[in-house]
Amino acid sequence: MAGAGRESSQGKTLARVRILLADDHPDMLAVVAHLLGAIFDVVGMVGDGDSLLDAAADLQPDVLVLDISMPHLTGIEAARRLKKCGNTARIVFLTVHEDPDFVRASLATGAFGYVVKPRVGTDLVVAIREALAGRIFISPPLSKESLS
Amino acid sequence: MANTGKLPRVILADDHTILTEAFRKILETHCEVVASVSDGHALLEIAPALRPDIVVLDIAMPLLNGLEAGRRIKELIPAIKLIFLTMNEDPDLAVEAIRIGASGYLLKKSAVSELFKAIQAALRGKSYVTPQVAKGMEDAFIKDPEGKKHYSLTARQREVVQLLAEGKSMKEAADILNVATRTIAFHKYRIMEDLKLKNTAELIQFAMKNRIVVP
Repeated sequence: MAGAGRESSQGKTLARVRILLADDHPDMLAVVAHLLGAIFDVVGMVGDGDSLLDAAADLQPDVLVLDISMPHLTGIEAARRLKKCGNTARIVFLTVHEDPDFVRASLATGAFGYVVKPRVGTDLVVAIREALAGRIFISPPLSKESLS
Repeated sequence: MANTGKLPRVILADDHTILTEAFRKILETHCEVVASVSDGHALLEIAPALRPDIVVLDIAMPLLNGLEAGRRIKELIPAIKLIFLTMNEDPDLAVEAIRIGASGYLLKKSAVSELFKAIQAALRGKSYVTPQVAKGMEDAFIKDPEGKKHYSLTARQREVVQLLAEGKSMKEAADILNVATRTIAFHKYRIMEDLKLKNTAELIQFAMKNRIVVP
């Protein structure tokens, strides 16, 4: 996994999981950073797809939390390009879109998580944890339709 | 309370009848409590028929626990919102509830005002976890960012495990699930083989560890 050289167990502190956030709404970024900051290491916040690609390359985070609708480059397109470049960060989408087609397109990029914004308080941290473990998490209203 | 003129329709599920009666009273000015049941099987029978907006359910119910019943309800009718109410403060249980699609997660010692908060959130498509449990989840995640391994049993296998862990004999479990005793035996021994459990005591331990039965 890119970034965190995590030491394990027996009394040593774990280096925290490093997360990069991307959303074109600064308020959303602030809320998510606050939510995640107690548990993880939020290493950066960006507001569009191009900045995301740069920041991902520079910071080498473990996890990316991405909005889908962003200027210049959508979250889905950015995820595709990151995958193409061999970036191994685990991707979790955080979005207002509840359309199963979006979910499928998002997961097709190799992302592990798809969380809808109304459920951010409960689902995002769980999705990140699942992604770190290599498991897919989709916000429950969508999971059935999207996977069928 | 989010309102289109009609009160939200609620089903209550808890094997402590004194609680369902108390909740019915508390909720009745703001919701229409259309039914209350005391086990997961009964819940699965009436929920599709009554199509409530919300189910407020305990996790620890006999025969079929709330997580399992909730999981199946979400599969059948994703629009039904689930609000879990439990005495168990284990954050891993909350994570499991969220994974199956809970809209709300409360402790029985939570304030009544939180129940209304959770109902409001659920009606808006949002989710709410009582702060104590949210904090517990945070702490658990810090300690263990990747989470425990999930054993994947089929729904039927989980049903069998719950009944056996509750102390039912294979024959009793067979009667409850309407199958032959040898089918229960098949499931039981298959599960024990797959999970490398040596005896029934270990099966029960497994069931408790994996929230199939909740102490």
